[in-house]
Amino acid sequence: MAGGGALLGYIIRRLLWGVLTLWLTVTLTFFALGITFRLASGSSLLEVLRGQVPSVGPSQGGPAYELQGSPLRQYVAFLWGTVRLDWGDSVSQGAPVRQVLLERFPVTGKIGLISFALAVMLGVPLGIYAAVRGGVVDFAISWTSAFVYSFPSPVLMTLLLALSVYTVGIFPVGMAGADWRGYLLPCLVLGLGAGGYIARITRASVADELHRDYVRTARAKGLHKLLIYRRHVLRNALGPVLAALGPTLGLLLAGSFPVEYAYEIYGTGRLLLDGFAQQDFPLILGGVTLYTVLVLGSNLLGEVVASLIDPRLRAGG
Amino acid sequence: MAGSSTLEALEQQSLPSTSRRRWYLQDLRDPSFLIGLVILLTLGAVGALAPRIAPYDPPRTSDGVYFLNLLAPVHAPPFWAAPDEVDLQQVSIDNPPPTPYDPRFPLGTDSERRDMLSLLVYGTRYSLAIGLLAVLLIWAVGVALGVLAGWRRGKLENLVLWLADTAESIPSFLACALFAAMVSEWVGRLLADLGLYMEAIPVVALSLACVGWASVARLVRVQVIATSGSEWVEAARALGVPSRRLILRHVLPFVLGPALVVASAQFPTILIIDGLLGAVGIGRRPPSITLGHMIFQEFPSTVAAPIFILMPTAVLIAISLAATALANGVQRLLSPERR
Repeated sequence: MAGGGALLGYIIRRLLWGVLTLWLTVTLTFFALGITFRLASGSSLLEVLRGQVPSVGPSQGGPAYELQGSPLRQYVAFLWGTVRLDWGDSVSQGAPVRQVLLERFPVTGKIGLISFALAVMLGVPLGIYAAVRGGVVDFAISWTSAFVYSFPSPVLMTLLLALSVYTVGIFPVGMAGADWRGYLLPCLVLGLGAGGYIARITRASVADELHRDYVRTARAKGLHKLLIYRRHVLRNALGPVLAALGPTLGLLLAGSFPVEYAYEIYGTGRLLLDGFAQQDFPLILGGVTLYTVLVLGSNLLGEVVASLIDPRLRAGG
Repeated sequence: MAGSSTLEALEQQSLPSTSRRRWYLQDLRDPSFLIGLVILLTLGAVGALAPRIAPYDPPRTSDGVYFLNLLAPVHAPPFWAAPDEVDLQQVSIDNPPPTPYDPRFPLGTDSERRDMLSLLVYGTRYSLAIGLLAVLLIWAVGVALGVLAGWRRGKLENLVLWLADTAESIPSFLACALFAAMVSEWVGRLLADLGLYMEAIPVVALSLACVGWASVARLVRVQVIATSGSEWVEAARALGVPSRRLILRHVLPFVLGPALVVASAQFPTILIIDGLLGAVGIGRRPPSITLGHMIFQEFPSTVAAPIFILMPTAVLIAISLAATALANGVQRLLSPERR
């Protein structure tokens, strides 16, 4: 039972750290961006700090927190709104921010999850196969994934984006949400780079485990190779892979901005980019909260799953 | 002063790691260093001489259109893709003739009738300037904060780690958009109040550097902790070498190279994010569009003519790979283990 308690304590500590980070992110965004947009609308810094500029942008019936007195009171009202997931009305969309985000997020979420699944289904088996098989296969897979990996992922993404223009006849663009084929290109573009990264980590971890003494001992005892791999090697090698999967998921869920822009997919990424261009303060606050929760949440998920499998991986703090 | 020179002599003798190193020309014969250097120098020369090389000026009108080229065709093909003679019999409304090659624009024109050659030359100029400046900023800030956190453990360390966590918890595209909107407005306003004017490039670079320092600082912190536990630092400390000198001579040399590699790995990310911000219209913009901006602005319109996306992509990839190669080479040159 001590192990379970320690795990729970660990999860709670990480959760608190995450909430603290989220708070700092949201607070910095609120003040920095609030002052920025007020400056952009022509007020002086002194007026802004005194709270003499009540509303941001062209908003008429803006959110409640913008109408209430001093910056501090606005901030408290905003924090309370964030806790209730209520950021008021989006200026550019003319609807509550929560509703707009909920409408647009499924597309982005699907792209992130599908490309994550693609990366895992590609990376893990290839990595294991390369490590176990060795020889020419290992060489080919290692070099391909090393190439994909050392090609910095944004460059790979741009290259794939650019080349994918040639396949537009086959895979329609701007169709994600309407047609399953519309998801193919964006998910491929996002998933391939991540797949190379996962393949590399898996291969290193499995190969490291294969050379341990216990594998040789088990072999000498006459246990079948596949049994050793399945029972011991894979289970032991999975920890580092799982630990890398969390941040990868976060990266993919939150990394669809360029893909959404290039393929004219109207998910939350596109929504927020447009929101910036139109100085839609409530929308950006809601979006920053959503994305920060996504990134922190998937990191935490990865850490917890990895530490369930391999308690040595528990990070301090 | 005798005491300090004895100390220095002792340090030189007993410490293997960080006595003043001599540079030889043969040290520079590192292939990845040389390749990266040559490519970057070439592109840098193109960028520096852009006003001489480019056939047309960068846009001077506020909407970013080359007013010289208003009569130019949209998407004129580059010279190697010049279409054959058109059979007028075949032309109809459904089957329009291809845009003919225009000798005034050897690399063709983009969707806004601008000369591709000029755009590429100026795009290289501004992308390189923004990227190099941002990488240097990331390097400097990351190393400074990382050394601070690793050397002074405790509260300061936690603060730096927390800030790094925060900077990385927002997706980089979103964070850069935030900082771009912020930095352009704040810096611009501040300088305007002081009666100064600042070029757009440092502003853009600064806003893009606000996110990337976190991974550098993290790495540097770990390395500083590892290094400061090593025997030679212990020995130097026992000799009474002051803290500042200890950091500068015995810790920093081990940290600079790897930090540069991590910082320059962000080069492509910076260029892409800059392009996306430019295409969406967030923050200040340099006087001409950058390579990343060229790529993203063509996407909505260029399904039929992918070559106009591929050209800036090729230059951007060359820059990114050259920067990576150069940084790896510099790391090997800087590494104290090499001597």
